Order: sequence, then C-alpha cells, then structure tokens
Amino acid sequence: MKTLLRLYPNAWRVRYEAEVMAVLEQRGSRFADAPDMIRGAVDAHLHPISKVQPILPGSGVPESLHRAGRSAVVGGLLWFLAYVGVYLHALVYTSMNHGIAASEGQGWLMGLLVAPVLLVIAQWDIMRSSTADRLRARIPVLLSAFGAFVMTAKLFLNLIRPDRHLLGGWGFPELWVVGMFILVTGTFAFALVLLGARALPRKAVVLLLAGSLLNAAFLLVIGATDMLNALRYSSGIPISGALYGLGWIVVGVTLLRRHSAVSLNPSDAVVS
Amino acid sequence: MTTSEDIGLGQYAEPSLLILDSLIAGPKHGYALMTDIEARTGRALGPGTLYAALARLESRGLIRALEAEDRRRPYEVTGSGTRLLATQLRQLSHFSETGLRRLAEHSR
Repeated sequence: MKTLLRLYPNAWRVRYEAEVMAVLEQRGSRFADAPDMIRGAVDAHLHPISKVQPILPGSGVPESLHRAGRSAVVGGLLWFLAYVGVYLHALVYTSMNHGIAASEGQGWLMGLLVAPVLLVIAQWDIMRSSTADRLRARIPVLLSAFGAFVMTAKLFLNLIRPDRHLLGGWGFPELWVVGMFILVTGTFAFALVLLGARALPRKAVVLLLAGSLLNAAFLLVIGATDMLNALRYSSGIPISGALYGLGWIVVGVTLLRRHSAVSLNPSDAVVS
Repeated sequence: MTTSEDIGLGQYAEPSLLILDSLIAGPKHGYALMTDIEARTGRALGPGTLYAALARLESRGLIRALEAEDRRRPYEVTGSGTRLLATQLRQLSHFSETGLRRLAEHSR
C-alpha cells in the first residue's frame, strides 16, 4: 500500500507522506484501501496543494528549515566578507601608497573554505523542506556540491602546503576558481527551480539569481585568469560576489523567519 | 453564511464535516480520527479520503497542524472551522427537523 504513495505529487508527499505511512502502519494495510489511495492520488494531482505555503511543518522539516536558514546566512556572510574584504584591503593599502604584496589580503579568502560547504547544506535542506520538484532540484544541488568539493579541496591543499602559492601551483592554475564557478552555476540553476516552484518569496530568489549570474559571468571572464588581482582592482568581481553572498543572506533570513513562524504557530505556514 | 460548497470542499465535504466534528472534541492525529469517526458514525474513511479532506481543510485554514509526535501529527480545529461546523450542523438539524415533521405528517 505504501508503494501507492508514489503516485502522489511530490509536494503532497513532502507534506503528508510520513503521516499516512504512520496511519498505514498503525491500522495495517487493507486491500480495500488501494482504490481509495488511487482516487486520493488523482485528486491530489487535480487539486495540488499549491495554496499551501511550500515549506510546511512536516516530519522533521522545521529542523532542516532552521539549518538551511543558518547555513545560508553564515555561508552568505562569509562569501560576502571574502569578496569585499580583499577588495577593501587592497583599496586601503593602495590609497595609503603602501603598495600591496602578492600575499596580502588573502586571509579574507579563508572564509571561502567554509562558505561552500554551508551553502551546499543550505541548498540540500531547502530541497528537503520544499515542494520544489526534488528531481529537478537534485541536479543543481549535486552540481553545487561538486563545485564546492573542488573549491574547498584545492583551497585546503593550498593551506596545508603554504610553500605553494595560495592561488596558483598544483599543476592546474586557479582550480578553486573553477570549483567556485561550478558552485555558483549550480546555485543559479537551483534558484531557477525555486523561482519556478514559487518556494520562496520572489524578491529573495531573484536577488540570488542575479548574484549567481553576475558572479558566474565575472568568474568566467576575469576570475580564471588572475583572481586575486581581479578581486583587488576590479570592482565588478567584488560587487558580483557580494551580491551572491547577499542573496544567500536574504534567503537565509527568510527561512529563519519562516521557521520561527512554523514553530510558534504551525497554521502560519498555511497561506494562500 | 459560509458552506462547504462555498469554500470548495467539493466531493470531500462530507468527510470534512466528519473530521471537523471529531476534532471539535479535541486534537487528534490521522489514525485517531479514523477510529473516532468510525466509532461515532460507522463510516470507515480510507487513508486516501482522510488525507485529501485534511489537506483541503488545512489549506483553507479550517484546521491547523500541531507539533508532530514522532511521525503522527495531530490537528486541531480553528475558529473558522468551528464556525463552518456550526453552520453545517444547523443546516443538518434544520433538514432533520423538517424531514421528521414531514415523515410524521405522512404517517398520519
């Protein structure tokens, strides 16, 4: 009988599947329930629960919602600080006519060791909590996870081998920038799925879309050549990165607010 | 006066009424609702019907989900749900009184 639950739409399953499973386990499966379940599945497709806010209090959902919010805020903030920090650092030092050494300002980039992991966790938890079609969201999340892995692995390798330049060496120049590009592109695709599923407020998703598109574009054009100098001397890259970080911060705050509303009063999650 | 037709409960109007009636006695999760309704009315709601009706009631703000206990999530009736139930029961009561009076007249 539980197999018949697969006939229901994803949004419905995210919200009610665990409860129906519990009912079926308590009551025991009855053959007579099969037509009833099939009729229910047809009805669920004909009358989707689109008027129910996509992120709802389901089994374990508030916890994943909270984690998604926290990860998005902290990850976004680290991303924001890394981009803006390097740029401001260079700006201050250059205006003081001190010149700037090759390694200066790189400390800011350390935030990028943690941020990708947090942003992938945020995407994964949003996907779990959302009625956005999981199959469609899974590919962008996997893409982001791959990008995050490449990025953090390369940055980590550079960190434990300080004799090597943080941004170069290891046979493949700027590999972490390639990882970053993949992550940002994955985020763009993920935000598109969110936008299509109306899973989050439009403004927040559009900000994330704009940030990831700009960030990816600048990474493609400038970043792959000389990332640190591009960060220091071109305001385009810091602005695009800051916008991407800001997009995640806004998404995270939205999720945390929604989590509070769901925790305080589950009916707040039911909005037309 | 709001009726179940006005708010689009459609073919699930009757199960929805049974659910509201059961919940007015106190919050219940899915299985408790099924057993309570069956005990009170003799009507056995299948899980497909029960959750189709619950989804409609919840999306229309007539019931609200409470904190889950394990995977079982209790529901309670909202103010709007109470008003709808009162309206429906009054209509049924009126129908019942009229029907009984006509029946008595017919039997004489």
